[in-house]
Parts: sequence; structure tokens; C-alpha cells
Amino acid sequence: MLFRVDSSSSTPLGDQIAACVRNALISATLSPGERLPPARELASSLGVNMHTVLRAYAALRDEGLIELRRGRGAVVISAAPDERARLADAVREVAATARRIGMGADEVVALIREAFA
Amino acid sequence: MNQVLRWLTGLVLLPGAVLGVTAVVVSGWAGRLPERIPNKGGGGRPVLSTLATEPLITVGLTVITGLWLLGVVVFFLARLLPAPAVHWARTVTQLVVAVLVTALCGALLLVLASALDARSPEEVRTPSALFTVGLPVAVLVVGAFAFALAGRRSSGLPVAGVPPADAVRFPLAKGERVLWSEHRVLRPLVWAAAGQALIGVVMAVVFGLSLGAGYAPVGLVVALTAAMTLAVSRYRLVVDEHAVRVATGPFRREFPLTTVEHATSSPLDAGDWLAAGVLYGYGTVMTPAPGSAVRLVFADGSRFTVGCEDADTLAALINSLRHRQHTA
Repeated sequence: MLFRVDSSSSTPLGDQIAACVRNALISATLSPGERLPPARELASSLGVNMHTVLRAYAALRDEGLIELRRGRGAVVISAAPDERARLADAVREVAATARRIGMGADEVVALIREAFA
Repeated sequence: MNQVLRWLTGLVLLPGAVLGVTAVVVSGWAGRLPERIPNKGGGGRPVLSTLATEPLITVGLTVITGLWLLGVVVFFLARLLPAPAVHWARTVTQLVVAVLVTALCGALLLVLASALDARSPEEVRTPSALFTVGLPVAVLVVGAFAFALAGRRSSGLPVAGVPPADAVRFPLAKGERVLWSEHRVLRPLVWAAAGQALIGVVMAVVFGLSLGAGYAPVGLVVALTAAMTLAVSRYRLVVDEHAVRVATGPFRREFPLTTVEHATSSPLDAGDWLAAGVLYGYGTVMTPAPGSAVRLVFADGSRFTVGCEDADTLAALINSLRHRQHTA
């Protein structure tokens, strides 16, 4: 899986790391039983503080996505299919609303891009 | 230890020592061996045919010495191969020579030891279980030592130049830091290890029941190889802006990103899977063919092939990191 963090982004680095794991679970790049890289290695490669990585892992653990085991590191325990299904439902709802009020796909995409920025 | 000393130890001193010890031991046994030993039968069964002991020793030691010298010749001829293939050809030669010399010397000693102090072929005993178990273990140990002595190809990979303009890239923001991390378990190898363990246990039971309890450990030696197979069934691939690191069980390789000229993605076909190491020098196969793989191309023309779940993305990412290093 790919971890990427941008220090110039307004999103906290820990949240960016956690988001990478969530995205990998949603896209099925990561599956239950797989291990995440050790916090020290991740921190060193991404140039962030190790406590930032540990905070991100702790957030994922609190969400029930990973398990932190002494000696084994972080292990994925949930495939998080609900998140993807929820997102797909939300997108369908957005598309339906857009059609109802006469908005085109391009306009909706532009709105989404604005929200992402 | 420098590489010349390593080759000298692995190809000359190690097989030479094994052969020398065998020759000394056999010459010490000369007066205690019968003139003929069983060729068919013996060890409690009727002797159907026999072999003259002295010519057997002479021919045996000559053949082993010939194989050793042939290995030395092949080792020197390996320098005619393309540069990336030389190290691998020499490693294989050293390994084969060490294993063959040890196995043949051990077999000769095994045969002769059972004939010690026998006055006729009929008195020759079955080989001792300790010797029978010890021989494959000795072959494995010497093989592992020869392989370890060969070492890695002296890295000295040149720093790569500007990556090609047409290399596929991955969109990266200016200050963005990335880490590609992949852990895989090669299921076929896990199953193979289970099979080896099962065969080993079955062999131990069959040998123990049919030949005697002393032969049961032969099966256990086979079962032990399952542990080695299991160890290499896991691999890990990590790429960041500093290096590409791959590990198959305990075997680890690291390539600084500055030595990678560019990366491409392609399926790993059976031909490459079998011969990548010999053809490209740095080729190491991390996944059973066919499969998606990333090829790292170095400035000296050698390559390294590594299995990857999303080879297209990883190859593009490596190219982008290389490009960023050059434009920084």
C-alpha cells in the first residue's frame, strides 16, 4: 500500500496517515491479517515524528480497523466494507439531488473538488 | 574478507579440505578393508556381485578431483559471460562443486566405513544410521557455507543518470513524502513446506518401521527442510525516497534509489522467472510466475525484478521519485 503525506497540507500529518490506511482498506489493497509497517520505519520514511504515526495508528485502532499487538506491530483486523458502501450511497444521493435540481455531472465534480481543496 | 579470498576459500580450500580429509581417512583405512566389497547385496543379504576395493577408491577419488578441477575451469571461464552474470555463474559453480565433492566423498566414506575390518564381502555391514543421517546434513552445511562465502555481487552500482523522459510517472506534490509498503505470503511455498513436513514424517515412520529406529532421523532431516521453505515464503517490499528494500525471509537486498535509472512494470513470464538471476545479474524473483512485477533498471544494464501487487503504480512512483531527485 502507498502512504503519502504532504506537510504543506492543512490536514494534520497523523490524519493523512490514517486516511491512507482507510483508503487502502476501501480499495481492498489492504486486507485483514496484513501488517502495517512499523511506526519507526514509517516515521523515518515519511519524515514525521514517530508519535504522529503512533497517534494515527491509535486512531485506527479506536475505529476497530487495526489491532496493535506488542511485538507484532499493527495488524489489520477489519476490511471496512461499510465505509465504501456508505460512500457509494452518499454519492448516489448526491447524483439524484443534482439531477432533481438540474445540475450537470461537471458541476457536481467541481463542487466536490472545491470540498477537497 | 575480500572477494578473492572468499572465492579461494569456497572453491579451492573448502572442497580441497573435504577431498584431502577423505583421502587421508581412506588411506588410513587401507589395511582394514577387504579386497572386494559388495556391489549388489551385502549387509545381511546374499552378495550377488562385488567390486574391487582399491580401484573403487582410486577411481572415486580421481573422479571427485576431476569434478573439482572442472569446477575451477568453469569458474575461470565465467569471466567470458556478460558482467552482470559473472557473479551468479561463479556462485552456482562454487555451490555445485562444494556440494558434489562433499556428497561424493561422504558416499565413498559411507561405503568404505561399513566394510572396515570385514574379511570378505559377506561380512560387510549396512551403513551406520549416524553416517546416513550425517551425510545429508554435512552436504547442506557445506553447501550453505559455500553459498555464504560467495556473498553478494560487490555492489558498486554506479549512480544513475537522468531518468528517461518517457518513463511513466506518478503525480507527486513538491513536498510530498511517500512510502510503498507491501507484505506478501507466497501460499504455494507454504503448501510446499507443509508437503515437505508431511513427507518427512511419513519417511521417518516408514524408515523406522522397515529399516530400524536408527533410520527414522533421515525423514526428520527432510522435515527440517520444510522450515527453510517456510522461511522464504514471506516477503516484504518497501520503497521510499531513499531506497528500494526487498526481503524474502531472511534474505534482504537494498538498492539506493540513486542507483536506479528507471523502473518498468510487466508481467513476470516463466522464462524470466527461471533465468532472471543469470541473465540480468541482479534479478531476483519474489513471486511465482506469471505475475505482476516491477523491473528496476540500473545504470550498468543489470536489472532487479520484484513481484508487486500494483506494479504499474509502483514503477511510476519510483520514476517520479528519481525524477524529483534530479530536478531538486
